[in-house]
Amino acid sequence: MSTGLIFACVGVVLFAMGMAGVLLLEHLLRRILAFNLMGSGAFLVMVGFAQRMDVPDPVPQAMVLTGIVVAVAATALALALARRLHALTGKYTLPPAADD
Amino acid sequence: MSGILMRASVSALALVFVVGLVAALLDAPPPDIALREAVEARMDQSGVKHPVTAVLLNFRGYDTLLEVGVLLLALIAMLAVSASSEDAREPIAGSTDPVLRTLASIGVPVMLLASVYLLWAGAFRPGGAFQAGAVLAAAAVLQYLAGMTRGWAAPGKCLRLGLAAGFLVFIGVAAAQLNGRALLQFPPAWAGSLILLIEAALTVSLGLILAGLFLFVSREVGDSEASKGRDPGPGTRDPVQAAGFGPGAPALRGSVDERDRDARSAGMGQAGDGGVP
Amino acid sequence: MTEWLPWLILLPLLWATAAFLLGPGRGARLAIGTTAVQLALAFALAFELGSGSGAPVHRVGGWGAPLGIDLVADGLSALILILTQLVALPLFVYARIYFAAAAPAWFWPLAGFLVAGMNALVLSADLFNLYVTLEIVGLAAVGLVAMGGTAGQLAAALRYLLATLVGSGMYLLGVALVYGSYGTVSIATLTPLVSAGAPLAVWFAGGLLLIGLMVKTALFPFHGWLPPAHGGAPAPVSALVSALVVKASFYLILRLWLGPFAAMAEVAAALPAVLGAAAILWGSWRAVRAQRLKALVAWSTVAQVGYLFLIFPLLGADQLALHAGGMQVLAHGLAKAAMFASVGVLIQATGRDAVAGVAGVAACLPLTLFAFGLAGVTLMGLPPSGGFLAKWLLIEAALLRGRWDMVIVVFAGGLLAATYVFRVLQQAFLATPGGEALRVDRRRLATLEWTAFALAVASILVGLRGMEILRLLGVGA
Repeated sequence: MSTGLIFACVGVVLFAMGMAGVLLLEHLLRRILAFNLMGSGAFLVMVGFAQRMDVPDPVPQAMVLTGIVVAVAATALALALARRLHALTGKYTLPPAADD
Repeated sequence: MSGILMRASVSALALVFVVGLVAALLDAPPPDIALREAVEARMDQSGVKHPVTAVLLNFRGYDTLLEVGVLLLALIAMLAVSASSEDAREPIAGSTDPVLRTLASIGVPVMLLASVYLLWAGAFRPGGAFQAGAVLAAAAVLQYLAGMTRGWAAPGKCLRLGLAAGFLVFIGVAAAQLNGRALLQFPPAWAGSLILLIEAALTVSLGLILAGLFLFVSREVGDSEASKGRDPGPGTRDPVQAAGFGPGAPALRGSVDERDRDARSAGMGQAGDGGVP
Repeated sequence: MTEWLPWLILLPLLWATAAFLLGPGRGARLAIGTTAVQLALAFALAFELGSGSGAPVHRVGGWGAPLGIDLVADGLSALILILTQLVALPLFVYARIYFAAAAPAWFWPLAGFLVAGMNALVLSADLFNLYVTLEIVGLAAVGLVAMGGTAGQLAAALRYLLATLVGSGMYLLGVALVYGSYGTVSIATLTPLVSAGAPLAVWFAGGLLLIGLMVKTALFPFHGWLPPAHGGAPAPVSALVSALVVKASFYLILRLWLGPFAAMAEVAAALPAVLGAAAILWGSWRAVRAQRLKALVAWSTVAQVGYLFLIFPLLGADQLALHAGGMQVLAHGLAKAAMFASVGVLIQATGRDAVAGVAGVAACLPLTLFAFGLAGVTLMGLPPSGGFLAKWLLIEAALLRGRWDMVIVVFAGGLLAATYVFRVLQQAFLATPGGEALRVDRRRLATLEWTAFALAVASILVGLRGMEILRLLGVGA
């Protein structure tokens, strides 16, 4: 098994853990961290699976760099929203949705 | 009970997903196309010597253009969220720990130097505008944490120009060849210089944006913590006092916060159209 | 002609950034003026396509796929480009007046990024580039929803953000698997490579792309984030996101379904249709039961999204289902924008967001009520509206394949839509509880009323101009 494939398999595990975390956890900070775990998993699959012959390929590396920046932007916005919500309600959990 | 059921079913699904996908990865045949060969073949036309930089700023430069847009967008969205609170309070400064302060006063100049090196190195080895900008931003955050600068208030005209400059330069260069050729098409002879121009402008703006994502948020640290009346730990002196607001300031801040919160929670129940004139 | 294709993306990016530079609350006139130019460009593109010149390809950087990124405009993309600018232009005029007294600081830059993201998404032909455009649309929409800053709006925005991030995370993993399997993310290059005999990793990729985008489209049962987000934002924002944002991810599903994953898609065709049928029934039912006006309109979006997914088992050589889908995207986008816009007027006039609160408005705001009714005609699918044409084509396609169950769902959805639309209209014709006439400053509301009305009329007109639109959809499909 090549190094790339090991990275990809670890990435799949991280992705699944992160996704379960976003769905199951309640504390917003944990959910945001879980989203980052999910994103990191996808990035690992992207670089690992594409380079499973252990030949470096600059294209997935560049795409992952782009993806990381996008994830940073999304995380920053999520944190800003969570802190604003905390400043207003004193809680780091989402209130139950009242939608009608 | 339903919580446990939900937990069990999500975990089971995740497990099945992991086993299935890992099996699929181990079993995958080699890809049909080797894009790295195409990258290698065109490296001489890209204007840079490092393949990842060539992909980021030339072959797939359009991704990078939009990605800078995403960062700027996230910053604006963040400002939109905090601006709505009409929080005109003075931004507060961070800790004044002497050790951290000394470390920062040595570290920040080194970081500035490292940032310039990273920008320059991007053309032929790992580095580039994003890494350089991240180091710049880290320097600003370190300065803030050491109590050497304040968190940022709503951005003024100059700061906004700095935040947007990199994106605007990038769009300008991208559109320059649009009449007759393609978006982001650089003449091979000029590619190197144009990429350096974009990267230099991006370094400054990305540094400001990334620092802003932290420092605009920091404004609210005082918000939530002061309102709970939490005692600042022994290691860090009260930031408000440190910023020269005098010993009476913390109590005052607390009461302002409480009034704010009451006003906000009163408005909370109403429907979405808070902005109705 | 492909030279000016990128301007559809660059112009909104430029005015969004310029509005940011101008300062909080500024940039309305710039936005409206430039959006008018974009609308002209979108129409010019449609005419060019109609004249039979084929789908133009713009090779960004001059490299060409698979090394570079291509921008491609076919009939479907032109249709969504027109819809985007056509909805955005009147809504921006509306928003300028709506926010006149207390403008949210950064509405205009966020709206500009939203439009830029939509245009970039529709033109992109590269799976990874599409991920970036999806994130632009998603983050801009979340920022707009959160802009009001109340706890309810922040919670709705966070729920929305987490859902949209899970969706794009799945999409990204799908893209990673596609790149690893084929070595390219260009849609045109992938299309001949993917077959029904593809390795298991590609099946996983297809599933992840499909489900991730369904989450972003708020298809039942992933719709939970939509009603609080769309029903809680200020009216111009609700109108923008409800008319446009869910269409972006639907467009992408359709693009992938008809393109690279066509061979694999047949296996899964039943799934979106079943979920779509459930969305129609559940969304309409919740709209019928809703107490708040904007919640009613938001739940109606959940239902109308369902119609879009009914088309998947019916897609075939006769193009009926594709036409139905394209028509539904256009008609619902215009009608939903009109509906949120008119509901915004009703809320401003009566001072509260409640179905029970609109009693008496028939006498003082007939134009707004007429706009609401016209938009309702499209949602119900009555002739001669665009909604009628969409549902007619859908029923025709279903009958050709003997799918009576779908015909029943479409009719049931229409009846339920009539119920929730008439609930509001009936209430509006009642007298106010106190018996006195409602006092309304009609001059202040005039622009809002007329823009809502214009959008509603447009949703009817697209039904009358159906042939041109269907011909456009056929280009490059």
